[in-house]
Amino acid sequence: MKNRLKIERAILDLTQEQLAEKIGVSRQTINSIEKNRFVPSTVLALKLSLLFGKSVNEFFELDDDE
Amino acid sequence: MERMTKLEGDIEKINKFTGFQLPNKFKKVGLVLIIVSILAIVSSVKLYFTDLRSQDLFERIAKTGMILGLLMISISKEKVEDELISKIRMQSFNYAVISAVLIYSLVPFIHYIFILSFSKVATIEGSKDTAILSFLLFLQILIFKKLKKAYNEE
Repeated sequence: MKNRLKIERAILDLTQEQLAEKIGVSRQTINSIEKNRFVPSTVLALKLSLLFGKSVNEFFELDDDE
Repeated sequence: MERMTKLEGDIEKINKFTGFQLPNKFKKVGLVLIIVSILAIVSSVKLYFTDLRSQDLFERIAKTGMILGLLMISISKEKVEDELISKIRMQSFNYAVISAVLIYSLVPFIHYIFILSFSKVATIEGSKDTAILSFLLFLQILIFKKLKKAYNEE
């Protein structure tokens, strides 16, 4: 799964720490999602969607082989 | 209908039990307990007890303290307990159980072969470990089946 989390975070001018705090996770979790090491739950994706004001599809995308 | 309610009750019970965690500060409590227990084991404190039975009991209590200290560190929350941490916790339990079972299954044989190369009267060591490992795996299989059933019940 590809993601645009880093870009969306930059648009809102948030650090990983600030974004983490806003959605109630640790900075490490944000970092691991951005690095594609961890796929978040639907609940977390929807929290991000609410914060970015965009639908989940706009910042999470399936890889071609998925 | 009654059966479904029972299963829902089961899953709630299991969730409560499997999701049980201690507050973060128990990491420090656990560490202190481990240090105190190790000091009690390696020091000569137990020699203050005059009879052998009390010495054994003291040592056993200290060893139990060490295990409980490790358990406290293992099941206490991180500062931020989120879904990544849950995943890591699950993976680490998985890895720990598999490696412990494999190591404890192989060590007696390695030990046996090693001793056999020096002496002709080698004995196979370890007996309680098989009971513990069987119990651990049996419990895991049982809980797995129960959870699978409970999650899939229509």
